[in-house]
Amino acid sequence: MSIRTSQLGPLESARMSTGIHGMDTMIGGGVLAGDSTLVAGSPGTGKTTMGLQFLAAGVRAKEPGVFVSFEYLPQQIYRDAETKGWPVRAWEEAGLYRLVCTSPEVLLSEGGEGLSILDENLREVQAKRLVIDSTSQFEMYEGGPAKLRHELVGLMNHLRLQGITTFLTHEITQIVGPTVTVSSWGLEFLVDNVVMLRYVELDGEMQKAMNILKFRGGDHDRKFRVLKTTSRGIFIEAPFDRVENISTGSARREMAERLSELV
Amino acid sequence: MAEKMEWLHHSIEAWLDSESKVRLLVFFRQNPGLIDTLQGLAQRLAVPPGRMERDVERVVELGLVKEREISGKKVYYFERMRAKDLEALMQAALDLRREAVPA
Repeated sequence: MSIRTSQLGPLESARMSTGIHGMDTMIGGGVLAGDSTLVAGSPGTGKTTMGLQFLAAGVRAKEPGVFVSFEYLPQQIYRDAETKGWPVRAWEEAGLYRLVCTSPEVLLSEGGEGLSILDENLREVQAKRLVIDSTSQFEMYEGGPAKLRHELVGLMNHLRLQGITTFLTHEITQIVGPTVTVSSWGLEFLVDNVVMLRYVELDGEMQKAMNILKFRGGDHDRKFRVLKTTSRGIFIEAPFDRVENISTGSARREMAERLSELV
Repeated sequence: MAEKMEWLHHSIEAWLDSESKVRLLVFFRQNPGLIDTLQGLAQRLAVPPGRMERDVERVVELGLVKEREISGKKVYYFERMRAKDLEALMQAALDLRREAVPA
């Protein structure tokens, strides 16, 4: 991916709201503009919804966005977004949003004038925000892991220099378990922030937990918090109270809590 | 009126002359942000690429879908500027069908 000197601007330091209820307060007001955030989680934990919510917040803040989908067709995304109250079609018509569905190879390949399909779409809506859903599809990249990593380092730098704040989703195949592998090619090292979404088995039901593993923009809340998916998007709620072993996926009440139930 | 009807019939014949082409155009209209190769499109629509090639060529000729070469591969995407034309024509085709088949 080529970078033109005319595109280079100062590195941004302003905070940008994620639009995800409860998340901004965990990270000092929002992500740093131009930074990249990896949202990694098991299937159904809310990664795509988080991406859509991040762009919806952008539209409200007059910060246009591009949503790149490698898996879902646009018609599925329109439907899912509209059920949450985000009229993506209307935003596209107003030039505030662009939905692109393609493959990683096509997205990153250079077209005319040295610009990639991604560059063209970012430029057309003057995007400030980008979501790539999901980077798991990069694992099928034709060039192999070393070339892929090289391409992604270039892509992250390219986006940062353009002041585009990015959310990347990534699928974790384990539903619950003591160990979690985010990606086999070290994606978590290439991004500025890492958000983990996990299922937690607790009190006989599957709950969802959200945790910020890594955040470059300063101190952050390190607690496992309850994640709720509602008809208005995702809400990050209070920390799990007196619960241990959340990271294993098989959480249990702390000993004191269990004893108090017995007495 | 007669001239308009003639134009409409002509356009419908040219644009919507086969079920597979209609299916392809509806698919692009529903998914305007789709950018894919012939193989990718065929896979998404569960149609053998060989069967779809001619339809893709025709919709490109008609200016409804654009073609470009990226890293040696041809990719196709919907011409968003023509979305309204396509919608109007599809509506007209549906209206004509309704008129032709009395309730």
